[in-house]
Amino acid sequence: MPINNKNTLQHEFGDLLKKEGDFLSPNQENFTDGIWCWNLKNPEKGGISYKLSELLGYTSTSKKVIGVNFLSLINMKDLVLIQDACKRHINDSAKHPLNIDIRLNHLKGYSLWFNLRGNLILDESGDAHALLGSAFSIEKYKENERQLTDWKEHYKNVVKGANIGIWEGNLKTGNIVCNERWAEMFGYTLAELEPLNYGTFLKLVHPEDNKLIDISLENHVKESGIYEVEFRMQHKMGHWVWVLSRGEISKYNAEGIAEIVSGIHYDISSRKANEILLEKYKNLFERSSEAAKIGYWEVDQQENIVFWSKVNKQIHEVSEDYTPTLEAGLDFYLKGENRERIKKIVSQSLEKPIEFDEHLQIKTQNGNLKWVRVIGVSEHIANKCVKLYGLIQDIDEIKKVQLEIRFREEQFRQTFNHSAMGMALIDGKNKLIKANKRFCHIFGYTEAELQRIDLELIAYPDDLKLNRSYIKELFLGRHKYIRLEQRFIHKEGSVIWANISMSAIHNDQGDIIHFVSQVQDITKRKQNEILLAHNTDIMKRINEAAKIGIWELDLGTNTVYWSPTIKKMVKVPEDYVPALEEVYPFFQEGEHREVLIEAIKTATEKGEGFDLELQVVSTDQTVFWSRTIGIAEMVNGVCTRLYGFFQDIDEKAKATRELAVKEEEFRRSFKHAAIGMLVIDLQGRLSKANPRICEILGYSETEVLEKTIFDLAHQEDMGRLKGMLVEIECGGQVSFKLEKRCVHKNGDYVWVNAAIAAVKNDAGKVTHLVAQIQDISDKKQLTENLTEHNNRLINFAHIVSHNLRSHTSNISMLLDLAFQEDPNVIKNEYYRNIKVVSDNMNETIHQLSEIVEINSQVSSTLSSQNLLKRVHKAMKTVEPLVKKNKAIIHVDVADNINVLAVHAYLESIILNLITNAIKYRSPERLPELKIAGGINGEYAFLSFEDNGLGIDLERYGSRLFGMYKTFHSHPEARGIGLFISKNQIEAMGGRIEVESELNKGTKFTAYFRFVL
Amino acid sequence: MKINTICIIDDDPIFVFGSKILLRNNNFASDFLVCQNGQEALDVITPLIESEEGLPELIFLDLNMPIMDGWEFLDEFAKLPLEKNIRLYILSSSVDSRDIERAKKYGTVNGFIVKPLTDAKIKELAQEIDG
Repeated sequence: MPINNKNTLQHEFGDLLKKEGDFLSPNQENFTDGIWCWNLKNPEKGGISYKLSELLGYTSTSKKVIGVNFLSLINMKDLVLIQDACKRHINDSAKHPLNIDIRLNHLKGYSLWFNLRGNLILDESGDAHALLGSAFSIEKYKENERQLTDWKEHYKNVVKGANIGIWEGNLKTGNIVCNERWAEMFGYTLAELEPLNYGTFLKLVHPEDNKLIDISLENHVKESGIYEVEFRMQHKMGHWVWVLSRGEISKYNAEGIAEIVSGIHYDISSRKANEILLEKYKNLFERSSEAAKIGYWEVDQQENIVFWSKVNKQIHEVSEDYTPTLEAGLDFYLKGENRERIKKIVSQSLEKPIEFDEHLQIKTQNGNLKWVRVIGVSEHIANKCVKLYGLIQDIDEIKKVQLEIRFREEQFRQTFNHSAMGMALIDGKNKLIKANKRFCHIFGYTEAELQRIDLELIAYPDDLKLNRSYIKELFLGRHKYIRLEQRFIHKEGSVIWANISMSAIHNDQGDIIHFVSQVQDITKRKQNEILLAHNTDIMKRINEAAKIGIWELDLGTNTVYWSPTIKKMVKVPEDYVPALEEVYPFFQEGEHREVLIEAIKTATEKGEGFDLELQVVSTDQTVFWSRTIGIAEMVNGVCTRLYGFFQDIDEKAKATRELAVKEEEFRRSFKHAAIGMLVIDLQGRLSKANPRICEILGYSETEVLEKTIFDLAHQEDMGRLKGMLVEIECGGQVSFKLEKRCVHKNGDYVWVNAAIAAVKNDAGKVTHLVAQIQDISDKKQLTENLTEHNNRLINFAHIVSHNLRSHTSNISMLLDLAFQEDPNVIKNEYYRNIKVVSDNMNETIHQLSEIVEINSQVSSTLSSQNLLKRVHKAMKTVEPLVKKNKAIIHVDVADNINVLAVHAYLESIILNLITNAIKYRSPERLPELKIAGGINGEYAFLSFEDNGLGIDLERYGSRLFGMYKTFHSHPEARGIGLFISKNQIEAMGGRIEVESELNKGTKFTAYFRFVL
Repeated sequence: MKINTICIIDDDPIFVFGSKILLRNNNFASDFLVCQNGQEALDVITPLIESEEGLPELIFLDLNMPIMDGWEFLDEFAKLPLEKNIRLYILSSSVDSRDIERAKKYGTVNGFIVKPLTDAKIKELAQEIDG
C-alpha cells in the first residue's frame, strides 16, 4: 500500500482509486455504478466517484472523485446497519466481506437503494484506515422486490382457502405452470397435460375464444392493466366449462419487458363455485368497503332471508342487531319518486334477471335524508328469482357536491342569460362563444350573427385604435381584467356608448381559456353628458339673450366694472369704465336714482345686499326697467367687494304693470257690477263674491264665502252642476249658460241666469271658474204664469170645443131630420142659411179641437221617423194633384236623417207644405218645388222652395201662421193649414221659418229634433 | 142579430129625440130604453137581468153626464152578472183622442161613435152588427 500523498484526502483517494483499478477488473468496473471511499478515523469524511455522485444528484465539472460527508450520505435508517457491517468486516474481513444493501440520500431529499461492497484499507501501522468499495444501484431491483413481496402476500391471500386454479405463464418460452386445482377444473391431472405450455392450454380453449385470450393478453402487456377474460374450456369429459381468467404481469426481465404473467382461473359455470366466490367476496367487501362506506345486501327469495352488512346498517342508521325485511328496506326510500322507483326496480328484478345501478334518496332510522347508490343483480333459476343482491353506498356528500356544482352552474347560467348587463364569453381569438340576450340587444345582432363576425367590426373604429393595444395586452395575459368606455356601432348604424369590462378566465392549470365580457349600454348617460356640455354653452348664450350682465364695484379705485352685456344695454363703448359717481346718472332722476344711491351706501357700510327694480336711462335717452342685484362681501366689518347682476326687465315690468291695471279693472267691475259675480274654485267652493250676488242671495260676503255652489243650488240642479265641473275638469266645454234656481238665505228659490266660464292659466290649465249671475226670478215667474195661462186656455178651448160640439151636432142632426121628413124644406131660404151656418160651425169646431189635440199628447207619441220616407209617402198621396198641375218636384233629402216626430203630424206637415206650393202657384209658370233636407246644427231641416205667388212678408209676415189668416184671394185659402202645421212642428220641439218674395216664390223651412 | 131594444143613456133630450127618429127611420130598432145618466141606467138594467125580459141588445152611452158619467157607468156595468151579451157603443160629441184611447181599454165597449148620429153612421153600424 503506497503511503505517499497521504497529506491530503484528495490525493489519498486518488491513489486509492488508482489502486482499486488494479484489483478490479475493467469488466467489473464497467458494471459498477460508482466507487466510494470512507475514512474510518474521520467518519464524516469520504469520497465518491463521479458516476456515483451523478446518481445522487451532485453536479461536478470534473469527472473526478468529490469529497462528501459520508455520514450524511447514508440514510439514517440504515446507518446502524452499515456501521455494524463495517465493524464485523474490520474484525474479520475474510469471514465478513462487506456486502450490504443500504439507502443513500439523494441531494433532493429522497433516497436510493445501493448495494455497497468494499474492502478495508490499512495504514502503515496496520490500523484500519479507510474503506474503499464499489456501489451498485439496486433501486429497480429493490422496487421489484417490494412489489414482489406485496404481490406474494396478495397471491397468498388469494390462494389461501380458495379452491381456484392458479397459473403462471412465461411469455417468452410459452411454458405454463399451474396448480392441480387448475387441471381438476377440466377433469385432468397436471401429469396428464404434460408438457403444459401455452399451446396445450389453447387446445383446451373453445376455438371461438382463442382470439379473445390473445387480444386480452396482448392489451394487458401493452397497457399493464389487469388481464381478465371469460372463456370456455373443454372438460376431459367433453363438455365446456366457463372460466373466468384473471392475471397480471408478475415479472419483467432486465430490459423491463414483461416476462411472466400469472393469475387464477375461476370456474364460473358452476353456481356452487360462484357462491363460494361470492361468499369470499362478501367477506372481502365487508372488510374493504367499510372505509368506502359500501354496504352489502342480499335478499334470498328461497330462504326468505334478507341480509344487510354492517355498513349497510350504518348507512340506514339502524342498530347492528336490526333484522331487515324487504318491505321495511324499501320503506327507507323517500316517499314518492324515490320509493316508487326502487319498488318498480325490485318488482322487475323479481320477474326477470336484471342489473341495476340507481342513485336514490333514503330517510334513515334517525330521520336523516341521504343519497345512496344502490347496485343490484337479480339471479334467476328456471324463470324464478332466487336471489337479489348488491351493494349500497353512501354517496350523500358526493351527490350533494354534484348538486351544488349543478346548482352553481345553473346559477351562472341564469345570471348570464338574464343579466340586465350584456354578458358574453369570448375566446382568445376575439371570437364570440356565447352571448346573453341583453348583449345581443345592445348591439342589435343575434347571437348567431355575432358568432360569425369579427367582433372588431362592431367597435367604433376611432375608439378601437385607441384601445386596441390595451385589449391585446389582456389577450396576452398582462391584465387580469380591463375596463373600457368606448363606442360601438349598432347593427342599424347608430353609435352606442358602452362600458366594457373584460376579464380572463383561467383553468386550474393557470391557462387562459376564455374571456368574460360585461357590457353596459351607457349611450343615454353619454348623450346626457354631451347634452350637459351643450347646455352650459347655451346657458352662456342665453344670459346674453336674457340681457343679464355682471357688475363689480372696485372699492379701491371706486370704479365699476361692467360686463359687455351691460355696456350694450346702456349703450356705452366697450372700453367704458365708469367711476361709481358716473354710474348714478344712468338711473332715472328722482326716486329711482336716490334708491340706488342709498342701497349702495347701505351695502358698502353694513354689508346688506339689495335687489331693486329701477328705471334706467341709456345714453340715447331710452328708458327701461332694470333689475339690479347687489351682493356685498364683508371682512371684519369692512366691505371688501360689492358685485352683482344687472338685468333688463323692461318687458316683464311693463307686463306686470299692465296686469296690475287689468286686475284693478276687474276688481272694480267685479265690485260694482250690476250682475252677481262669483269666483269659484274647481271643487265648487266660492273664493270671491261681489256685493250684487250677496244681495241676490241675501247673505253677507263673509257668509257667502263659506258656501259652495252646491249649498246654494236647488236640489234639482245639483246633477247639472256636478256634470259641469266634471266636464271642465276633463277639459271639455269651458263655458256654460244655465238657468237655475239658487237658494236664498231665507229659504226661497231665486231663478237666475248663470254664465260660468273656466279660466285657464298660461299653461292652459283650468285654475278657477268665474260665474256671472243674473236674477231672473221676475222673468221666470212671468214664463210660469204664461205657461199656466196657456194651459188654462187649452183647457178652455177643450171644454168649449167639446161642449159646443154637442150643440152643433144636434143642430145638424135636427136639420137632417127635418130634411128627411120634408125634402121641400130645402126650398125655404131660412132653412138653407141655417144649414150653411151649422156646417161652418161644425168645421170651425172640428179645427179648433184639432189644434187643441196637437198640444195635448205629443210627448208620448213622438217616435223616430225617416224624413226621406215620409217625403216619398206624401208625394205618392199628392201624385194626382201634381200630375194635374204639371208640377215638377225635386227631392234632395239624405236617406239617413231620422227626426223625432208624431207620424201623423209629420205626414200632415209635408202634405200641407207640398199642396200649399201647388195651390199658390203662379199662373204665369208651371209649378216647380225643391224639397231639401239635412242637418243644421242641433236640428234636422226640411225646406220647400216653390216658384209660386210669393207672400208679401212685410205686410203679412207677423200674421202668416195665425189662425184664419189668408193672404191670397184664392178660393181654397182657408187660413188654417199653416197655423196647424206651425202648431204641430212646435209641439214636436221644432220651428218653422219662411222666406218669400212676391211673384218669385216662397221657401218654408221646417226644423225638427233629430235622432242620432 | 136582431135588435129589439136599444138603451140610450144621454142627458141631452134633443139628441135622444133626434136619435130615436133616425134609428126608427132606418129600421134599426123599435123599442127604446132612455136613461138620463149612468145611475139611472144601472137602476133600470139591474132588475131586468133577473127577469131576463126586456134587456136591451144594444146600449148607446154618452160620456158627459151629471150624477154618473159614462166612465163611471162602464166601471159598474162591468160588474153586472150579465149572461146575455149586450153590445155597447159610446156615442159622444167628444173628438178628444184621450177619450177614444181610454174607451178602447174597456172590453165591454164595442165602439166609439162621434156625434152627430147620421144615416150613414147607422147603416155602417147595422153592417157591423150583422157581419
